[in-house]
Amino acid sequence: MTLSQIETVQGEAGNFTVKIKKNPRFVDEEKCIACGLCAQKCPKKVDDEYNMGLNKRKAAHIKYGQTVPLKYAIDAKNCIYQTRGKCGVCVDVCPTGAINHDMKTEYIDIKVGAIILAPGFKPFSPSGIDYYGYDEIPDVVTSLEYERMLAASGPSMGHLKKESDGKEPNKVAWIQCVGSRNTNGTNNGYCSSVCCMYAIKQAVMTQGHLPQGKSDQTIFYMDIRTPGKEYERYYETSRQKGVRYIKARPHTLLKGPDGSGVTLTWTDDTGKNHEDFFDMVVLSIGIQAPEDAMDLARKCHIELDPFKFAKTNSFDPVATTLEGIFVTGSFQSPKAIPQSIASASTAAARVKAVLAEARDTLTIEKKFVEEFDISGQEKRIGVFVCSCGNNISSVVDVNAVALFAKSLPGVAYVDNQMFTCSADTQDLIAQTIKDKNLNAVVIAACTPRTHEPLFQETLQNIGLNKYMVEMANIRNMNAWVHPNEPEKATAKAKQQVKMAIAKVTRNFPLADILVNITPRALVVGGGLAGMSAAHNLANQGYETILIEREADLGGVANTLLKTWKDEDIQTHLAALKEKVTTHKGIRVLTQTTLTAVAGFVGSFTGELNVNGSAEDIEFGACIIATGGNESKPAEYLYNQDDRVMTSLEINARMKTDPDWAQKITSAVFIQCVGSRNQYHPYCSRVCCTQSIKKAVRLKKMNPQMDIFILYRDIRTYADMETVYRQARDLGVIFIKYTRDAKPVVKQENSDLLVDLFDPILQRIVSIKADLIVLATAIVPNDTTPFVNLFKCSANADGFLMESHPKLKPVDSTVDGVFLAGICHYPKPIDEAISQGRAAASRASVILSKKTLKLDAIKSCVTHNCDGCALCVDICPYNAIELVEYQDEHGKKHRRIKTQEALCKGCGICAATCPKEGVVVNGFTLNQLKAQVDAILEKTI
Amino acid sequence: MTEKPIGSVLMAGGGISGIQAALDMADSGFYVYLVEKSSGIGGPCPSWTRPFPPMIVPCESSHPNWLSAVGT
Repeated sequence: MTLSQIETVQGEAGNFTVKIKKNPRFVDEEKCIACGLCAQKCPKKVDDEYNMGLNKRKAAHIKYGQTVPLKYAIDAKNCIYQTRGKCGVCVDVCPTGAINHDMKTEYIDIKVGAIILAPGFKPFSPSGIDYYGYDEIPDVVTSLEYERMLAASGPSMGHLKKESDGKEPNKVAWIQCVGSRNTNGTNNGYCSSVCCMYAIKQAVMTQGHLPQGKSDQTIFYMDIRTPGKEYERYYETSRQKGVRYIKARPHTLLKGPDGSGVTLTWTDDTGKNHEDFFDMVVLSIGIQAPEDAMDLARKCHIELDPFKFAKTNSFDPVATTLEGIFVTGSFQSPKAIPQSIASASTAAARVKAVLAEARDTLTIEKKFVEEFDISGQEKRIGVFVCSCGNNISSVVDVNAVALFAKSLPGVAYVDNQMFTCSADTQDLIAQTIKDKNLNAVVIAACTPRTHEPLFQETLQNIGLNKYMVEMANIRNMNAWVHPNEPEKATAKAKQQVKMAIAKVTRNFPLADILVNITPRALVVGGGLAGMSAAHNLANQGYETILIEREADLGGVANTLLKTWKDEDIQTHLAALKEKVTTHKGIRVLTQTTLTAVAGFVGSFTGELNVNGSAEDIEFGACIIATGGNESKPAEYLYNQDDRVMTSLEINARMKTDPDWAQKITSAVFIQCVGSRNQYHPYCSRVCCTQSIKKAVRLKKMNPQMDIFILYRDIRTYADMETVYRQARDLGVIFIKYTRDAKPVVKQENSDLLVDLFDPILQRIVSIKADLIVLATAIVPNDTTPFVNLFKCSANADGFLMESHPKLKPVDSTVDGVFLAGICHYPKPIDEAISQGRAAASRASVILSKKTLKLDAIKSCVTHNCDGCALCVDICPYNAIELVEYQDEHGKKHRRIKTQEALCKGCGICAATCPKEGVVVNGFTLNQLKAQVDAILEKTI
Repeated sequence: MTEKPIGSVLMAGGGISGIQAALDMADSGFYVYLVEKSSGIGGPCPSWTRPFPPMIVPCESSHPNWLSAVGT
């Protein structure tokens, strides 16, 4: 439901009644064919929100070209007819009569078992803050505006231009933390988590947009916060590429001398003033809770935190204060795309567990009619040529293409449509197939990547095999790229259609592959992430085997005391251990390792070593959560002086001797010990918050204690920034050091001394310490066994790789295998728990089905195969194996066999084979050759 | 918590996070009402350029257990 929002919520977990307010679109979605005429003729221009107001849209509009649903909407606030009762030109021009200005707001009651809230965020507006000059200086823009300027699909088509004089900017500066980490005039005392990374990205991308060597990018920052996976490397690379970093907050921005550009003034650490001129200044604006957060909270009866984000806790990070209502995305706390997507799966996992009993009670399974047999039939091909509004027809002469198609052998029917993809055209295609006895279809329109499934479904709906359709992409690959050469484009379109016909002539029905699913999960690793995953899966109703290498569950969490929010970790951990070990759906095996794996998604087999004895298991999906630990340093007198200890060692000490803090007068924390260097070129993500939290605790236990935190950048991202502010308020002293001038720890007589250069005092200081805490790098436990067993991938640091760093942060590179916890990247416990449950959600998407349907585009051995095995090694998915067989004379031969569930149909095997011993169904050499011949006009 | 829960879920918000949660649930046996305030789903992500890769939004009508327009 679009244009809709929650009006009221009543009921309880499992049974809510929600009143939805559906605002009128004034366009009938059933009738709208997205031709765009209404927007073309609409006289009312308004700022285009999609491009941050950099250009105009009309009152009748779509958000952007690929918007879903692809249906126009009339914006009642700006529409002349809606506001003044005049105009109505859209009604006259709409070819399908879709515009209806009489549509009213509707209220719809729905009954649901659970609710997830993901209202997103509101970008901070720098308008009205005089020192940023955003309202006065044309060349000061927000990061979101700059993002659109960089975009090829943006209003300037990716060409950077200054607003003042239209010239290209050579010198661009970014100012970080605009509206974040700031309690002066705003209530935004948190870090927005995403701005450092996007500013670095924009700076690097800017280099690509401007002439090489001439451009200059400077980022003004407080702390560079790149604590995500591969972020630190990106940051380091940007420095090598010449992006300049200055630690300062510019205090004055003035219009440049001739009205263009910006003059920036800032003060450095030593108190010295600097002034420089930039062509453009980008304000890295932060994330705020959505505008209607309070209203939403009131309607849903949930509580908010002081920053107006949803109130949650570390052990159930997506649960709001009302049972049955969950939260995901930035409304939980500011987060980047990977964390947003992971938390979405976490929320889904929680819902699936709460509503486990009701699974499959309201869902609909799509059923198709039985396929009719076309074997032995001559091909009767139907060709449907699309105008795509005027996207295609304004360049390509679609009538000429249709006429040409009619002349080709095998073609029984040809037609033109305004929109081949519209719902009514699907009915028309289906009817035509029946009426004209067609057994193959060519759609000359757009890309199969987005639209092939639609046409395949149309075929399936009437019983024609779905692989009997081919598409000729005369839009993206033709009309869009040759707008100025209509004649040549038409000739090309004819050839594209001819190729598609040549191919479909040789198509034959294929059957999708069904893989039986073993409804059992294997979770490897019994730490917090693994236990959270297993517990959720079992609560969802899936049988789960949880294996742990050690004798005890808990992993590294056994050594942790409190979260940064002061929640007691050991209490939660003990309760979770109890739940996991007593749950009927979970089989816990300690002192157990996984020693062998075979099979594929939905149907794995494995061998376990259970305390010395072997056991075979079967499972449909696997979650790897093998954790990590802190590294032990070889510097700062560690192991030489027992007053120097690691973060986890001090935990143990505080646990056994609560009064110990009273005996200490001076403590020094050294950050980034072994992190962010050549040995571990990544940020360990949790150490800043953990050290600061410990400092606060020590300071509260013994206010007389002097505490120093020696850091490179403080990375208390999101709301963890509050603990950093608390530490400063309590008098903890923070001193910044650089990688080239690390602190020196030495013994003098019996004293322990730390020497380092203080950039504020501009001199070397010497601190006498009773305690030195080293925040050492977090390293993954050995992931090599899993890389070998599942053929999944790990990065250079040994962390297991996700399938897509942004969009699939929980899926591993192997289907059916998911990642959780530190084996993926260092993370605090709320994120580890969240990812554990997210992995459980991803795994249950597989386990909830009896069979898994895979497409039929797979490699297939032919009689020509002589077992030379050239394709075996080259297959990137390890889908091909060599098998032995006996012929009728009892003679042994070798040939290949494809594991269809692993094959992705890429065709590398077919391209490698010298004797057509392996082909890819749907893309056989015969079919490809016919297409090439068609274009070379050798046949048909 | 009621005794007999209802097997449908309200997903309020059709940004990248809402879409992912909706898909996860609809793909494993739950009926999802995806409710979005604006005229189209996708949220702010489509306006960001590389290397945040453009999100390919699944065609809503293609999912049997995903209701995004009342009456259809």
